[in-house]
Amino acid sequence: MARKAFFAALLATLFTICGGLVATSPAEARADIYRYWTYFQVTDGEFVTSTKGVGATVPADGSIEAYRFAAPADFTKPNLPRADLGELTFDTICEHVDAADGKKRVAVIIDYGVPEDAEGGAEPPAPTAACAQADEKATGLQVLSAVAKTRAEEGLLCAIEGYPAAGCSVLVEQATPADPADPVEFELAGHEGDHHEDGGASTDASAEESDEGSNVPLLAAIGAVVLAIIVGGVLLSRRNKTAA
Amino acid sequence: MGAPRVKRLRIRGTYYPRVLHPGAWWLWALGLAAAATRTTNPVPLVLIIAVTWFVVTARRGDTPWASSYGLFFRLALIVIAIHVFFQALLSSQAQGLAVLFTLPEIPLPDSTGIKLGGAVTLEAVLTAVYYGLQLATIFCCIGAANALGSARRLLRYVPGALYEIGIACVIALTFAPQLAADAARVRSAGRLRGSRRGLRAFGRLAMPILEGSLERSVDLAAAMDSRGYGRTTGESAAARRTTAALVLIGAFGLMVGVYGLLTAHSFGTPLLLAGAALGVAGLWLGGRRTGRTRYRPDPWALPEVLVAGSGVLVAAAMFWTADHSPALLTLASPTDVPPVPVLACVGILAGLLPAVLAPPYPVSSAAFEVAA
Amino acid sequence: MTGVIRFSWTATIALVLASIVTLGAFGWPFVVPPSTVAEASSHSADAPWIFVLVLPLLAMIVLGEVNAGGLDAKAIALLGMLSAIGGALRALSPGIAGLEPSFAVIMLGGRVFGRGFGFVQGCLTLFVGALLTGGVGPWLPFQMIAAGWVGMVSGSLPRVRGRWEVLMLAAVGFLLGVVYGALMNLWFWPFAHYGEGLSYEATSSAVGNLARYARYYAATSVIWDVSRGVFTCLVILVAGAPLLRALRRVSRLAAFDVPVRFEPADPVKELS
Repeated sequence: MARKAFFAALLATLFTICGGLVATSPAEARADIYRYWTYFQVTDGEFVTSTKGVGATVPADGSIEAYRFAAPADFTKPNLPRADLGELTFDTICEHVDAADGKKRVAVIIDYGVPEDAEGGAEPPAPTAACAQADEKATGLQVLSAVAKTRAEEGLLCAIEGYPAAGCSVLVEQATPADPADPVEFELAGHEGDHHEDGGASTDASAEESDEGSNVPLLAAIGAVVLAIIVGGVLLSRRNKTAA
Repeated sequence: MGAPRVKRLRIRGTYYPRVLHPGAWWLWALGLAAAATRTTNPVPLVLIIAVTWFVVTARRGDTPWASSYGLFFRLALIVIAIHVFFQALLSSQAQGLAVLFTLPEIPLPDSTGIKLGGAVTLEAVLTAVYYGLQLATIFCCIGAANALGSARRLLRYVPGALYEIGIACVIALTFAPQLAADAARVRSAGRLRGSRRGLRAFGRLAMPILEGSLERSVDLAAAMDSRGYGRTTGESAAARRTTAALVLIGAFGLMVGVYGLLTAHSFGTPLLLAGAALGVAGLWLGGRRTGRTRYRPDPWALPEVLVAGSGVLVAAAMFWTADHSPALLTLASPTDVPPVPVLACVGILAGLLPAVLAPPYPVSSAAFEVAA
Repeated sequence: MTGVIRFSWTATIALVLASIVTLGAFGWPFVVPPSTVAEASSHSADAPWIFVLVLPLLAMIVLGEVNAGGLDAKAIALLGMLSAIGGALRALSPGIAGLEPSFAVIMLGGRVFGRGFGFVQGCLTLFVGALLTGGVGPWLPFQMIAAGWVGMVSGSLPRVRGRWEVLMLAAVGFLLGVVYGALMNLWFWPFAHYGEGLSYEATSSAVGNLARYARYYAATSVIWDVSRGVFTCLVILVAGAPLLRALRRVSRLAAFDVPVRFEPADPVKELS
């Protein structure tokens, strides 16, 4: 009898917990906001969210690709790059890059977003537009890599120019506020395709880049430490063997 | 102090050789492994591997499982190789611009979603190596824990609620080496007799061993019965019900908590923690039923604290770096020269300290290990 | 169904809960609601670790409840001996390849001594094998529970005797060997980065991930798993009948069929 009562109590507890969960979950589920790079293509003078991953598309010669870092409240309506497509056309972006044989030219618009989306409220890098020159068969990722450093994970673009420094599409509390109607100024990058001198794109977000020169002694020091550990270990195991 | 007190060898320094509490080694290794999960930068990862290897070389014993580090290290190399093979050679989406060589492309219909072969680039190979290296580092940490902290000794610390099952494990561990030796004997006996090798012949010879060991288990059971094994102290039905309720609600909380975490609901973490707390409480309560004392418990003294603490230090330095300068732990592009997270590296070097701080392993304490 | 280890109803509930979580651990890539690029890969980074942390506790809870139901000395000794055999076979069997004769031992043990015993034996065999080889790692709880299922399934098979029993066990052994391998791959799969088409994608639908997993499975492990299945099948076909005879003899010897109750009034019975 006591056992039955106990069983009933247990079931009641479980059902209460279940009920509580069901009651709370729908409201919670809608609140999920992720911050990530959205990948767009420009068709007919408008930004269209890409249906494929950045590594799966093959942009055509003369097309425009665009990226925006934001945390949209509704992922079906992501924040668009704040660029004026009337002004920022393929011709203005790629006017100084001559077409080459077996290569294609693709205009790439990169909008690093607003300070609200930067880690710790820092100022995000200035938005840029650059002309990528890449192999005919180059994927969207390869085209982007021609003008900026990229970090990708399983076909998902995680960071451009080391922005954001870590993480890949992270869960956040606050959605990006709606963008004002008037577009912002885009920096037109140098036309050599050398992304190391891309100017505004690489700021404090990728700290290691600025002191890449001073990095080598540190690396050498670490290498020496690892070597010392290995030599020490080898000596130690040899001594243990002779001692045994 | 445990069994090794018998041998009072004083080998340079302040510590008597003794077996360190295995829990301390596992905590140390978990600290290093947790640090490895936070970064894909090869610099700290290689450093962690070097540190684990050195400490294992310095402080492992002469027990059979001390060689498991080598086993895990080989496994780690396989992991890297598999990553390079699949991600770098077979994937087309991960490729960058610096083409290393071009493989013949095998045309597959678009619907399969994969492309075999094609250009292999430096970016893809490096990405694969770095991801593989992270897993490999974790493997090396686990291997170090296996080699240093005898999991067999940890068996002493199974909660009291699992007492009988723990005994079954001890029985198994005592008899298994014997069985392995028996099997080797049977094999060599068969070879001497010139019987053909193979499954069938081995089976015919092994059967007597098996039957013998099964009968031995019945004898053992009788002996245990007569010595009062498997008895419980008087436990009231109410206590039993409380235990069951705690444990079951705890398990339910764990289940729902995991679901919540996976679907990114905010109730996930609290429910998971509450469930874990209830489950642990239930196990603890159930353990009181057996009312047993521990024979010669391993001490948890200063060396244990220091070894476990060094592992925590490694993890803390890495997590602090991950929080404050994440750019040092994640490469902006795989072809970048890896940055050096100085603080994290210094922290990892603190993981070397157990090579000095832990007491040396006593000479041939394997005989005592079996009793554990 | 008389078994050496009887599952109390609390143990059964605990096992069901633990099994659901384990199935979740294996199957979450196909269950967690997919979405567009928005959904995080943070799932794929953290989810396996959550299971790694939770499963040992759940396994302990299940075994603790089984334990509380009462294990007598005979069950303990037999469990110890059979898991010693399985563990030693695991330690002896060459490498990580699918040649695992311990599978056959788990199945036969579960068959003769009931599903409860089979579950615990499966868990312990893997545990002891890991201790013997120094292979304790985050994969252990997954392996233990999956091997427990193997023992349980073979203990729940219908009653058949004679040649058909061996044939049935061999067929089930083949199947379980393959399924076990597929499940074991699955818990690790979201960790790995094997490139597109083979790796888990948080953004993809369940069907897409299933296809991706199928490709990964075919590319990496189907050979091992089929060889494990074939090997288990062969071991049972060759050695099944004498092994079953030996186990049943012990079962009679230990008088497991007689319900043993430790009543203070009748101390003679205990010593049987």
